[in-house]
Amino acid sequence: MKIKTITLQGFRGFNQKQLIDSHPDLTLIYGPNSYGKTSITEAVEWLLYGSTSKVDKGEFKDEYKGSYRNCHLDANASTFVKVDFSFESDQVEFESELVDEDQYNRRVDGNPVEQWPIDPELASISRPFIMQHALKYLLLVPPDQRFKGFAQLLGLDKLGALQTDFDSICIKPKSSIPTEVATFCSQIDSLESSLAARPAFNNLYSLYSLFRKGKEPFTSFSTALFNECRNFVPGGTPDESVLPNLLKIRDDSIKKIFSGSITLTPYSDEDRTSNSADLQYFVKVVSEDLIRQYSELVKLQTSDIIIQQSQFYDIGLEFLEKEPNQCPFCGQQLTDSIVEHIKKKHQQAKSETDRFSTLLNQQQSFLDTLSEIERRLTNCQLRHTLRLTTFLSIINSLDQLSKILLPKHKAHFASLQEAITLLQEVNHGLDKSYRIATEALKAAKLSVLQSKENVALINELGKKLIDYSNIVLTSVNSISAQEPPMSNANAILKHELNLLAGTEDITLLIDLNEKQRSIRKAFEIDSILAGLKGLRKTINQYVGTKMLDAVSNEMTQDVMDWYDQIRTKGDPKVHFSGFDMDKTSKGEIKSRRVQIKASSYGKDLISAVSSLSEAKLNALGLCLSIATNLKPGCPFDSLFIDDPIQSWDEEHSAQFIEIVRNLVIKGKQVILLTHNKNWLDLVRKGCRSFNGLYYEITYYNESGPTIIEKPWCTWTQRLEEVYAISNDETADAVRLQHADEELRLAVTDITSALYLKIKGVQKDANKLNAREVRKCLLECGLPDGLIDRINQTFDITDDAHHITDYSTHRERIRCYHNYVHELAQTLK
Amino acid sequence: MTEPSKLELYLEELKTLVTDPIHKRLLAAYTGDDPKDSVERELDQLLIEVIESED
Repeated sequence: MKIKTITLQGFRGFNQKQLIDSHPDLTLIYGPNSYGKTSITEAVEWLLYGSTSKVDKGEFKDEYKGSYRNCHLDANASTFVKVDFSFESDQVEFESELVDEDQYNRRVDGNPVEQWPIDPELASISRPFIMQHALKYLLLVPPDQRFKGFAQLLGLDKLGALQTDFDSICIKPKSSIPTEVATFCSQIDSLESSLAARPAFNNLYSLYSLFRKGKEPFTSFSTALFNECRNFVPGGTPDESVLPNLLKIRDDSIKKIFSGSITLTPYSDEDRTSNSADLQYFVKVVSEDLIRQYSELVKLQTSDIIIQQSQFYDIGLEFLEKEPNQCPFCGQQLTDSIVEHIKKKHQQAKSETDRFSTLLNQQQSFLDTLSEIERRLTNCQLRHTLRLTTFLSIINSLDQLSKILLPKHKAHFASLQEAITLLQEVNHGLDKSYRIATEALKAAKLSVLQSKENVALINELGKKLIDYSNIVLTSVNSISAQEPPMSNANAILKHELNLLAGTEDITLLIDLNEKQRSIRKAFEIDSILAGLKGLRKTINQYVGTKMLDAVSNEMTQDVMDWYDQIRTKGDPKVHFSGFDMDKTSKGEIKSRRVQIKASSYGKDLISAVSSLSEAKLNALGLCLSIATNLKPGCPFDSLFIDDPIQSWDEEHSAQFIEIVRNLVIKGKQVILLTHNKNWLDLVRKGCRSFNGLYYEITYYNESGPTIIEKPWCTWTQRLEEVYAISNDETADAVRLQHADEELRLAVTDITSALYLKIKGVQKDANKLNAREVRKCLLECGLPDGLIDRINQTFDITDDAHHITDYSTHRERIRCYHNYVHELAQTLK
Repeated sequence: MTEPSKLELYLEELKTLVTDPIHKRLLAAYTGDDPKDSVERELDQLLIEVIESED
């Protein structure tokens, strides 16, 4: 992909819309500092990537907010960048419009797109921009940042990001494990601390430690634990009775001092799920639909009479079937019309009964709903009051507790008293609200059973259920808030009781026994977390090896080839000598440390970064970017080089011109920008035959830069070159074709200059074709014969510009040279 | 079928270098818009599975 034109409006230093044509080989742009050169480079970078590397690398992003939009741009005008790319034989237009501070809309040939239709992994491919600030960020930065820069340059940035992500996951896993896992592990840690603190169990603790280190199986510890337990029970106790015996010994000893406990059971996940379901049910159950169903049940008040009538007719008709036309009750003869009347009345009663049957079903369904409310109310109330009742039963033992806990555990005892006061109120509130709700429920139920429906009753029930739900919510919060301090108080109580009863050892053995499974699980968790170090190491070595392959082999050679082109004969032999990855003394690759090697007269230096001059580092950075841009797989044939020769002396600057030439020869379209006009004159001379485009930014104000296209060289130089080539007997077909090209360009240059001189109008020489050349010369009043000769010259040599299999002719060139020389004479 | 991305190829290669099934599982979790978060959640899940396991 090569760039044909760049159009930009309102972007960075550009305000008004400007279009810049780009030469397929070499485009040079000169501009003093702050005249908007870098805005051109950044515009194309922003178009392709949605951001610029300057903003991406900025430490404080806030400082760059809104920096893409030109501050003088009219409020109604939009910021956009458009680039016409030549893509094989096609041309395609990419356009990006800034719609917010950092948002954009993209279009390809006017059609909206999410992503550009090029490599989906565009972000991983080296960007075709070589900018000074980018070089600084690549070399003169801390190791991790340099690694990132290299990774991006080499298309390994995703691998670098993977390494960073796993680094942070594997280094600090304990700090980020889920709370329940952390709590679980801390309980086992606490048990381990208790074991370590009991001198009587030194051997047991040693085995425990060996198990934790993976040096002994768990069974060794488990067997030793069981043997310790045996020491506390009478000899001859069967294996299965050892633990129950221990528990009994401990409980009996403690009960002699105190038999209660501070128990406020926490809500399990199941409790919370049931609670949530019940409360949702209470809030939604009394719906408008339920009230409507309830209202309809009023009609059942008259149902009994209708049903009895229907049953009466049923019996009557049954008799009538046996004795038609005879009254089943008095035996009187019935006329047909009376029989018909009876049947009709029966049918009416039957229809009414059917309707009531639907209502009866509705009544049953309603009663079922009331039963469901009652069931849920009971369960919900029990869920909370059982906890509270159990906890509040400690009130009867407060005197005893005060003797055990005071004065040593004054704070815990005080929090217990506070919890008792608070939870008594909670219990009372819950009980009251529950009673009110159940009374409202009973009233509603009774009204249905007695067929005395009253909508106010059902509305009241709904209100009371919502009140109850609110009380439950606040109660659950209060109970949950008290649970941790009460759990702590109970642990303190147990500890004190064990001390008083002398059962600390037994309790520890019981806990160890009961938590054997948990100990193994905690060990498994520790192993998983410790194992992450191994995973981290594997990833580090893998990424390091990939990076080493990328930098030390092909990369080093490629960069060295370009670097050698910048070196001058007089250079001291202190140079970059290759890339590597830092390694440990064992030869393992150090994580994320790219080494830039240098040598001084054959002797290795510590690092290029600390040893080479800024100019050489600058050269190295340039070569690095060039080498990566030439790697296969890069979709861009263009390369922007922004102010490459800063801090270089004249000789090195001149050497770089050769690099520009070589890049063009290798097929790159180079767009070179600099503030150094003299050097750019040298570049034009050094790349004279490319006949590229040359622009000068001559002025800058709030409307943006003024960019003027200047001739690549003078027509005199062109004619001199044609003359020299035509007289060189060794000149090959390529050089002769070049002479033809120069003749064509000389014709357009002279025509443009002539037209300006005679008619006072500037014509763009690059846009003149054969027809326009002839028209201009005619308007300038030149002799017809000369015009025809020039026309012939232009027509023929124009093919040199367009046709690849064009055949050239030395004598013809000499002849045409004379014609053009004749044309040039008219200027004088 | 779309071609595997560079990252997918790296991860496949990495999976062959680790033997611990837990590490394979964590590498497999490195997907989506926020792959780091995805791995962290997988690690959390793994640890919770340990404490909730019946064995």
